[in-house]
Amino acid sequence: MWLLLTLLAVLLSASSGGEDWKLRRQRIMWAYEARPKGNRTDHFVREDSFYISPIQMAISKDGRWLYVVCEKADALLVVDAKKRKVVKEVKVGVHPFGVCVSPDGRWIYVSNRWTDDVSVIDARKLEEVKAIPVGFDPHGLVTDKDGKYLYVANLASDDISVVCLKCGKEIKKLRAGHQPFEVALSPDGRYVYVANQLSNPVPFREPPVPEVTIIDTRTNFVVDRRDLYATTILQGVECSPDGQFTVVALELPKNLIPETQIYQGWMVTYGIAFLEARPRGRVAFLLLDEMNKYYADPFELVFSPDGRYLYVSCSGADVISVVDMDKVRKILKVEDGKIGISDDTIRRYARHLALSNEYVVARIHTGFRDDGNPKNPKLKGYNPKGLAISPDGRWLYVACRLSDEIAVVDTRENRVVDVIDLGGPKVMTKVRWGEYLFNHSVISFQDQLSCNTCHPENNVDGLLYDIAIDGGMGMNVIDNRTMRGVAFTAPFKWNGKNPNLARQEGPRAAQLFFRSLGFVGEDREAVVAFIESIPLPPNRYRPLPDRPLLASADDDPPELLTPLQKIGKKIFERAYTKDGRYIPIANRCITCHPPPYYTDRLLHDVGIHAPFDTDFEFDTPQLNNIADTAPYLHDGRSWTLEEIWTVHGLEDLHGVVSDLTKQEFTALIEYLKSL
Amino acid sequence: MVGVILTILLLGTSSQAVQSPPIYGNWRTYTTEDGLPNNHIYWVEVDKVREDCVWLGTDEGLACLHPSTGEVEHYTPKDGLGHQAVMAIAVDPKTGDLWIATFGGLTWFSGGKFRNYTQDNSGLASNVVFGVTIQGDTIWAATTAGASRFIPRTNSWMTYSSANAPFEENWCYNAAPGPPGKVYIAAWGGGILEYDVARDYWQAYKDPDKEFEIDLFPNDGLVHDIITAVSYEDSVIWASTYFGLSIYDHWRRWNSYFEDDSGLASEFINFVRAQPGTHIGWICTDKGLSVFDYDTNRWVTYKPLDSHGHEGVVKIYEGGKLLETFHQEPSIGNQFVLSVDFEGKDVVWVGTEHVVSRGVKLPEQIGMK
Repeated sequence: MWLLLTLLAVLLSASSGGEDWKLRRQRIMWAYEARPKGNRTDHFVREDSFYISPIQMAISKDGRWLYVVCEKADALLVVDAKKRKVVKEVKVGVHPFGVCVSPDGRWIYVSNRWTDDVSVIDARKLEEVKAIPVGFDPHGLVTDKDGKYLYVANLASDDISVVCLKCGKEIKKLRAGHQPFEVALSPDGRYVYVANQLSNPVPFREPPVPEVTIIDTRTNFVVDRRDLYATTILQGVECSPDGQFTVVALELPKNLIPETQIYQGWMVTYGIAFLEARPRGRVAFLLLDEMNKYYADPFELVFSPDGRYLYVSCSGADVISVVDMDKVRKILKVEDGKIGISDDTIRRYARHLALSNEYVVARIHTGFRDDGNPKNPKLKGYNPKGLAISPDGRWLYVACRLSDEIAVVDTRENRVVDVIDLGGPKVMTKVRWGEYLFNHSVISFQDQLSCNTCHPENNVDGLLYDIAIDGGMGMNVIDNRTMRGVAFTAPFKWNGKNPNLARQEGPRAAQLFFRSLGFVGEDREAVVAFIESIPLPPNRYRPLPDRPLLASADDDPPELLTPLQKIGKKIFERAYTKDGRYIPIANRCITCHPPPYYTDRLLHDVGIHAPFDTDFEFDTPQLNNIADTAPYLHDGRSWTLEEIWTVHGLEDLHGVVSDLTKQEFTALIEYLKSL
Repeated sequence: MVGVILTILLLGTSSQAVQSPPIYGNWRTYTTEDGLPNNHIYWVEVDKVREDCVWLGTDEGLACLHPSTGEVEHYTPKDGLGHQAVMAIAVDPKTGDLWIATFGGLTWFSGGKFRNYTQDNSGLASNVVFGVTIQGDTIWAATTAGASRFIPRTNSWMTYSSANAPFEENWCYNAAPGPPGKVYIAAWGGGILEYDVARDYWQAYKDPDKEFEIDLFPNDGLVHDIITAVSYEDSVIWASTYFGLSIYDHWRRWNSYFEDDSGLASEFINFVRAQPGTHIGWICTDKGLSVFDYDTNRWVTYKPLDSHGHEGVVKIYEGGKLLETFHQEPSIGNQFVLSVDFEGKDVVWVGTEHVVSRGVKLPEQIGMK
């Protein structure tokens, strides 16, 4: 069978000339299909296959066409903004995310997260003509002013692809911060700003420091890396039309403070960073939240064409916050593009919950709450993500990801006046409802946070948390863990106290995280169903097969490793050291980390107890896609896989590695990354 | 007809007048008095992708000298540099990023920020890094425990040493790019290691006679197995040792050069670098700087006569025969030369243990008989 498929793929490639990109995509998916996904599919019903989930948008220069990326449909929808209806669906790669249009409007570019490429779409014929391979898990993308280069933020490889559009290929990769998420071009075309979602490595128990990477488009070099101290989840980035500021949507976490109370922004607040556009410029922060009300998970920003207003999609609150930039300038005492307030005031404003009333001039509710939106009873407006604004500034379009629709906002009234139905099932399945609850902050006290707040894209935020109730203030600091592929990895929690997700997401989450009733009844079942349905993404560290690999979901992944990974595998599975000493069964890698999920689901003492831990034994984490989940160990003290043994596991209690050469140790690391 | 003859005569005359290697002079020295952090210059690297920036690896950190203004930027471990001893620098022509070999790890410098890779937090073989080079999208570090390869895209490391490659000694001094798809490693006591990326194959070049004190059979291979540096340009490999110079020509013929049969200033050679687009090698010794044109068999050797570079002597050789000697004022700043790099075709930068000097190519009649 595989022979036929291969033959078909080769014939396809040969007959269409230059369509190797299709074969490449196929190979990626062959590799993916052969691996265990780590999720349960029995929660799904028929409708779950037909949701489309619009996430990002671009608008044509004349405002006539909206290009809507739909991550679950693997498609770009073309919407007639005038008639407010879908006119065409263009199939793209797997799990598309970002979209931009060439300056001449001739081409549309869409990033595809799972196939690691960018679809090139002919804007006249509205068909995908080719795909350009880029880095791992591409997200935001933008062209330069002349349309010569495309800049693509590759979230999982921590780099930015610079693509030559004339020659249709990537010409270089620039190293970014950690998890580059979105990109923006300055109005004069000189710089590309890249918002990196997570922090660069910082010392243990220090606040996170993600960066905004700045690229000079004249040289295509990184010229500045602006640290945003004590922030995280940098997602949307945009430049003000006057070129004075770059704004970034982000979180300001307080994860290192023991959980003693939930008032005044405990755990996390949400805001905007204002970066002076000049090199090495200053940065100020203003919150989107109010004293007793939070606007969780800001995702995307867009300026009105005149630069007066900034619209921010607060995706966890089903709200678009409208920021008056004139008032922001006044508060920040901006003159000639320079922030005039002192460093102390900047720090104070970054925590000032009572200030937003002065510059947030409207909250546009898209969601299910009664917000005086009688004209559009049909609007659900769940999980607003991507934004686009008409050239005249009159209409703001909002991609509502979990209700498969676009909300149309009249910016003169700052309210939703229409809705564009993008298709998709009209019923809410259990898994879909769970996904909505997972992404909404309504569950938590004062709407402070959603599950997605700490698990962006169902993964990790890279932060440590001090959940004081688990042993006292300053004790038992824990590292965040991924939600991807966890269906078969119970128990949960680093001390393994929660036997299943229902307990984890029910009373435990209510008590420790949400400080509310928490998920109960059908809501809890729905959230659990959603979490259990989250699959592992592709693993980029395995060689791609030339043919389909035959495997069932629960099998050990088929052998397809590099020579180095094969050496690593032998070490992982070995029973004797190189000098012939017997390694007790309990101290072999594979004993506690057996395939397919590389966890025995038991607690073990591997010698990593810290003075502030009350436990000695910790839950054995699954190892699939481990390269995507740094930092490591139960308290996140290890920023790299190497440090698990070179810095923190010197007694050979966490497996035996002390007899390994550097080469063998490197081989082990490479094998771990391939799991 | 007359015109053709005149042209031929003129061409003949002009070709005779070409002095190669050319003479450099008008030396300008820079020291701590000019703002350098330290006078011990391990490495000099002219930034080919940024204007007006010469990177200096010193005993007290990394410095960027802006020749047009004389301004110096200075970076230390407080800024994130791995160690204050900066042994080598490579500028990635694609990204403009710097990779810096230090005694505390391999440091990446980009957009004004540093990140340090160590033997603990990465696959780097050892924190003591003597050399670094960039080959395509791959970074190579010459360390005291082997040669480490880093592929940033996949965050993947690999170390080569006696455990998995024909290294007789793991102590590596220098790394240099070869022809497309190849990298050279200069190993202390292990000769030259050539890595073929596509074939994942190592080729070792060693001293065939294995004699430690003498080169028993000249031109049979490397002069010695203690290699301090290697450089490649246009099918010619240059290797410096503490016992003379070796050149491997088009993978066909080895040639050895010593003080008594060439214009080499000293057989104790710290470093060698081939000038791009030529068969000219710049040889940094403990007793001056020698420049050798492999095609013309001519040498030019520079030695300062004092410790301030006020005055020096230049000697021109053909083969081992001294053709001319003349004085230069000023001269290179110090005779213990550690590194060299080129700013275009007409300017050279020379790093020494007490000063960095900048020289410019002189008109051809100077230094010619």
